[in-house]
Amino acid sequence: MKSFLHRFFIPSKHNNYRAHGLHISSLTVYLIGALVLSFTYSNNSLLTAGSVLGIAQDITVGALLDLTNKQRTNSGLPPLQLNTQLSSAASGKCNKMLADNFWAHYAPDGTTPWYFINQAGYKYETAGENLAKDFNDSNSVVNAWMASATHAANILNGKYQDVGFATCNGTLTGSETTIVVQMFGKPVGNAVATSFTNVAKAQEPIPTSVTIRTQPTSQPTPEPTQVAYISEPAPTRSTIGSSLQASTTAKPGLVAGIMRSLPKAATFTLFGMLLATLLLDVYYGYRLKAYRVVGNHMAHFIFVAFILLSLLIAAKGVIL
Amino acid sequence: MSSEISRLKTRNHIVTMKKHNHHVWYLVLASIAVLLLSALYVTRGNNQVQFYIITLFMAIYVVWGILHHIANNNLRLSVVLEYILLSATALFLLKTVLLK
Repeated sequence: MKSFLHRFFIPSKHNNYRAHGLHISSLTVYLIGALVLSFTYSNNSLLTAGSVLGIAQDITVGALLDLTNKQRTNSGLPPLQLNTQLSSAASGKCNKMLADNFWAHYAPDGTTPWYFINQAGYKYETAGENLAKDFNDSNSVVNAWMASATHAANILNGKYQDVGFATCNGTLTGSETTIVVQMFGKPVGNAVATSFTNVAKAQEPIPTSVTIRTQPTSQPTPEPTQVAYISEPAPTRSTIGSSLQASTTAKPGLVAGIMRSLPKAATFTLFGMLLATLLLDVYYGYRLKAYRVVGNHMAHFIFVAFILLSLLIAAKGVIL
Repeated sequence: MSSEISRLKTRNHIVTMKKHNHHVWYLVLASIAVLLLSALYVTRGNNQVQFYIITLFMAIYVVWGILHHIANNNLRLSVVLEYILLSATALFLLKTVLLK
């Protein structure tokens, strides 16, 4: 074993003065492994067989509400009430994004977030929306929102009284993902009993990543439906292609969790190992003064660095 | 004596030029890598576009490798295979991560 590792990582006369981990034969084995992994994951029928895989996240409405309200109470603001109409609006938005394959506050056909709120029957004075996708748990979602000034401004907006959430699984821009929609609102005519109530003037929508919309107060006062906070929603397994799950929970099984993180872990492991092999090969090759006609080491370093940084940038949850 | 110094100077000059050329090659590849990493950051949320960006870098990397070795007169089939195998492995793994 020791001899194998030595040959694998360190150039010597036993491996033709080139770390075996960088030989063409080893690189071919890596490629075959990558192909097998890619084939397995691209074949949905294999992944969904027996519901072993599929999109499975630990994102729950209860946890999202809890964490959102925790941030508000930490800032001295009253907690938001979970509103079924806003949750229904969030569900509508979630569905629309998957159906029309877009990732934006405004749909390509011009549909605004306010359309869904109006459709759900929620008459608002002020409303807002936060979006997130590609996260694995509720905590990461809220943390990412709080790390963004504009999204945190929505969560910590004293005008809002109600909130609605929806999560939906499906394929968006070529990738299977879980989308989280959070919609805020203050119903028309409802006074907020806090020090943040002195916001009466109607505002125009702000065209930023996080939008705040205010309707004129001349509309008839609605009776927004308030629902009690559901602390522990019934767990529901989500699968590839399932459309919408407002107010539901999807908890990953152990196997599903491992399988989901396997491609990323495999890429990190392989390229981390390649980086270590390259470093050892350069160091011992220099010490042995070995002249090898091989690929350029500096180029390989740049390449491996690019791959590792790509993973950090690309395979991360995003908010909007 | 004078001719010896001249030869040394010339040799040093050649060595310096070669090093300089290497730096330019590396700078080009590193700049492209940084540019495309920035593009990956800007296109966060659109995995399909990100995959195209990564594919572009893989292609550039293979072409860069071949041209660099041609410029250094040490291009071999094994070297070309090395670049292609590394790129293809990275491409398939990142495809699995991004487009699963």
